Amino acid sequence: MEYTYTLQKLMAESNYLLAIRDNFESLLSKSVFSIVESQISNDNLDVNIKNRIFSVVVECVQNICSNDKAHSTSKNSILLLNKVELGHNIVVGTKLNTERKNRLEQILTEISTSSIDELKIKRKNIISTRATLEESQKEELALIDMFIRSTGKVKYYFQGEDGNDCFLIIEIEISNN
Amino acid sequence: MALMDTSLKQIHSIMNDENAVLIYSGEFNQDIVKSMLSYTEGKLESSGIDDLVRKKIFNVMVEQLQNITKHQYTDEEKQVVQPCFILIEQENFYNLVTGNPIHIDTIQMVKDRIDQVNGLNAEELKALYKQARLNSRISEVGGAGLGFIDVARKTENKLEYAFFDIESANYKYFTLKTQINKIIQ
Repeated sequence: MEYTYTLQKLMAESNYLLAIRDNFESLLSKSVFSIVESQISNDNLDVNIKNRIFSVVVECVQNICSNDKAHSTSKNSILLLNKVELGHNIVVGTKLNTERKNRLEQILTEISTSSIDELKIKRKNIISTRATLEESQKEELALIDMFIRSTGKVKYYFQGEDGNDCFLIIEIEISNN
Repeated sequence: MALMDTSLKQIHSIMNDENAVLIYSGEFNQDIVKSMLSYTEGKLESSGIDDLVRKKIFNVMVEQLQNITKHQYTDEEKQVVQPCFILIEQENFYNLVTGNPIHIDTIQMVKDRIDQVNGLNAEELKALYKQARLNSRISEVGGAGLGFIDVARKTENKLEYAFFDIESANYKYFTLKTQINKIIQ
């Protein structure tokens, strides 16, 4: 049972409050939101900051974690919440097949080199020009939203690109001010 | 891009290896407990397991979370030892694991109580439970091992425990693991 002590030590050292590993199917999303809400409701945070954290978690769970139909039955996604010096970090990780990896990598490269104003225009364009969004556009919108809400404080990594699958980790920082 | 945070990588790797689906580490209060119960309830509902098993898991979880809320301690200086709760889902059973610092003076008592509970069969546990309830009413000593007996009765499995050394002269880290089978025998 040593893993219990090791896990709590790792969590405490990096100020992680919560870690959830799942496939984040829709039925569970509600429970995930309620557990995150309880984590941030104790802090004396401005309601706008809480909303930003919450919105990013919603985007992570609904559009990043639960979007890969090929992996929908296994618990291949992970969501973590941690407190950092100036705010909160939301970390999301999900397993991707090559096709989705290439698509997301292209979107992320493009977004990360855009300014917040450019992203706002892009978001507006996507929403206003299309009545129904395709999966890839939902993902793009979710990622744009994360960058805007965190004012660009987003880091991402692709890990373990062996065979057909790889793991994408996105860290989104929401500052307290 | 910088390399992924090592602790994040380690947490994810241990979660995968141990089949952990939920970890909470930090202060336990009523809201946190409520949200963890609601998360687990949602999870169990979506997994389609038997109502009786669901109820059992829920009751044991309430008992363990109440226990940890009551006995939590954090080393205020270092903030590196905190109580934690881990939910593990295996193919045939769930594990509920709690961890919390425990004062060295109480370790032997806790150990004796769990060993006693683990050494009894269902009938003997029932009798011990009755006796412990009576004793706690008379002496008003909260708990008196009642929680361990209750959990052992509900899970029908042995309780697993361990004590780990931490950087403290007065405390160790106590971990308790219960197992609830998905299928009733």
